[in-house]
Amino acid sequence: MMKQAIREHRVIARPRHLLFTGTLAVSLALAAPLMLLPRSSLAEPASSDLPAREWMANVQRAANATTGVAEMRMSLIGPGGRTRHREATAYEKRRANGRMARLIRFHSPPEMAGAAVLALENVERDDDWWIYIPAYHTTRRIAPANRSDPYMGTDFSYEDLTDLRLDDYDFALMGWETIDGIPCRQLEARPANSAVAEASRYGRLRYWIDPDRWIYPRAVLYGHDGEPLKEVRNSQPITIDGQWRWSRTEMHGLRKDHRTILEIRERRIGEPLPERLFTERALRRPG
Amino acid sequence: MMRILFSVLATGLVASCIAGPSTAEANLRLAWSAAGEQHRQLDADAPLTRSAFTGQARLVYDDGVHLQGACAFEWIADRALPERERLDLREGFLGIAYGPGELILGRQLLSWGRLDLLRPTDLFRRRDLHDPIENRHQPVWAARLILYRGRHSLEGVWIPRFEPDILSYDERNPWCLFPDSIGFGQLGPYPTDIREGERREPGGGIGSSEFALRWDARMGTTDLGVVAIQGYDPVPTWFAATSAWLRPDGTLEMTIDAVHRPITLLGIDSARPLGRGTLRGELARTWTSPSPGGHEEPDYLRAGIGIDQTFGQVVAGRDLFLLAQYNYDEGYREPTGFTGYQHFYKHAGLIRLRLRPGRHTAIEVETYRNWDDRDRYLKLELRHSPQDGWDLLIGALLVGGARGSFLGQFRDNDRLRVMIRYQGSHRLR
Repeated sequence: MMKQAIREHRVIARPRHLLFTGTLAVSLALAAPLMLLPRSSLAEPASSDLPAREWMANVQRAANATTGVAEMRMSLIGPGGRTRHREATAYEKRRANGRMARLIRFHSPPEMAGAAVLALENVERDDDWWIYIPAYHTTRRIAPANRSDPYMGTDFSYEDLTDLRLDDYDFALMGWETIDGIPCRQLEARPANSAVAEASRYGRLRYWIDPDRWIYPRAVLYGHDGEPLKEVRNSQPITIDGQWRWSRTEMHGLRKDHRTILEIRERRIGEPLPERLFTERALRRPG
Repeated sequence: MMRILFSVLATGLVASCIAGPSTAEANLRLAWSAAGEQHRQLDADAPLTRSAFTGQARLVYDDGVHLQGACAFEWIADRALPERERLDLREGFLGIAYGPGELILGRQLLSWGRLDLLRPTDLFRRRDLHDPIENRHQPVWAARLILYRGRHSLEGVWIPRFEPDILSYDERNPWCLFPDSIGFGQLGPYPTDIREGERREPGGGIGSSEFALRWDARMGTTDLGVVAIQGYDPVPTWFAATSAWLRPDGTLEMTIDAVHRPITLLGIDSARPLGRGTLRGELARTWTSPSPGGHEEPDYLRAGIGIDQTFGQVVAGRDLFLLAQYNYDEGYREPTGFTGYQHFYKHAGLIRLRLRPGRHTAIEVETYRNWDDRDRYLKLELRHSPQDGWDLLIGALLVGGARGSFLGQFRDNDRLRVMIRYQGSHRLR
């Protein structure tokens, strides 16, 4: 009865603009982790009866297109309000192993032009990360132990660039809460073993998931001390070919009171991207 | 010929600009930078060794997938060392990618290898040896074809004309390698004025082409590259004196021609995660062609291995990046006169630390030490970016070693360095 009441409330409460906006720029799952920037298919029925792990699996399925390209602008806002800007293009492509390849290439500021980060998600072993900084004239592998380092001065870390491995986490469903007018179910993920915990700066992750669209407007990432490290706020959702994407993502580093706001200027989904784009060799493009 | 090639490239760049976007939104951007820099020697009679302005303008087009091009000019004005002054085409290339292939034509920065600073396989990374510690990268004219297939790629490079590292002949430059006096048996020493001759070997024609192949592969967590290069020594194998005369003021004026012998290089490089860090290595064997006069250079092996790691929140809650590298050069010989840049270490170590006290501030410490001659340098730099586009740098360099060692001959070159730079960019479409 309670579930039914909540479901009815959700349908009534959903703002119409969420369903019909289409001209706003999009935030991209590419630039931020799938876990940070999901979207959903309306055709997929929300089910509160699903196991917790399936909620995350649905969020991941909904967030990952076969391919995608996004032009983005990042604003890095310090405690005093001083703001820096970055412009980048993010690419993603589903790999043959079913997981994702993600590439972010920076265009500005000039000292970062040409810099790029590449992440290849693997099934059997740790994901691969590389970074290319033109000033060093070489690519560098990012060791798995360093995947919680922030990159390019943003509040995102390398591990935010890739999806959670479902087998590596224990998931638990929690209560409902309305976020920005969207009734959401809370889902908590905790590392399943000490090795996973050690490799991440996050001791647990909590998501507020809209099960109708399998997107979440909010997430809080906690440190190993149990205190919140970062908060993610997603907003301005739009649909592209029936797939939901956020247009704006704000990552707030709570302990340093630093924010990174990511706004998508343009995004395309489903257009062909060559495999070569997602290779360590191609990171070293002279442009 | 270069002008024609450049015109073709420029046309291609313009064409690429007016072509419609392919997959991603096309990105046409104009970037510029202006930097003022001073180097001030400590304990020197003429302490100002660099008082320079460097300006760059760069137009770049990139659709992200199929087409890219860039055209960049650099202007250097140096009141302290006019020899450095130049207006250069720093980049002028067009890259076209289709299917698994990519073709990049024109003037470009080309660099191979995975180590820091000393890279045995990085033959095409031209250096500006006006300041060897600065390690400034210079472009080359090149045609590159890269084929991608899964975890592998194969790259072919043709460099139509050989361009050597840039040497300094001006004795006002404290990094000039040439002696300021020469003695002949019982005669002299005479103050010397050494000039660059016009008969460098090889000349700059098409006959000095260089070729290379590089195969890259990803094997599990290991990146591997294999290179084969047929080219020339980027630093002179030796110098041939073409004329020498004693001026009335007692100065010996010498004109010398650099001789760069053909070399063949086979090498591998690799990188893989190791524990909490990344392990990288390079190894290359080089064969030098004998000269027609019978002058033979022994072949030699160069190798290096390094590890880098970022330690999280170790100093006042800040991350510390640490790199440690060891290099070996079998061809090492005591630095003799003009060819000191050739093999200046046998066993050398490099350590680099980088600490970020703030998000836009970095402290970097780099130290190099040659274990045999014990020559060394220590470089300290503080970089700060007060706001987007602005960079401030304050640095110090301390050089040490015995007079007869490579760096020891520059041990009076301890310096302070200050630089201020503004960079901007504007997206045109």
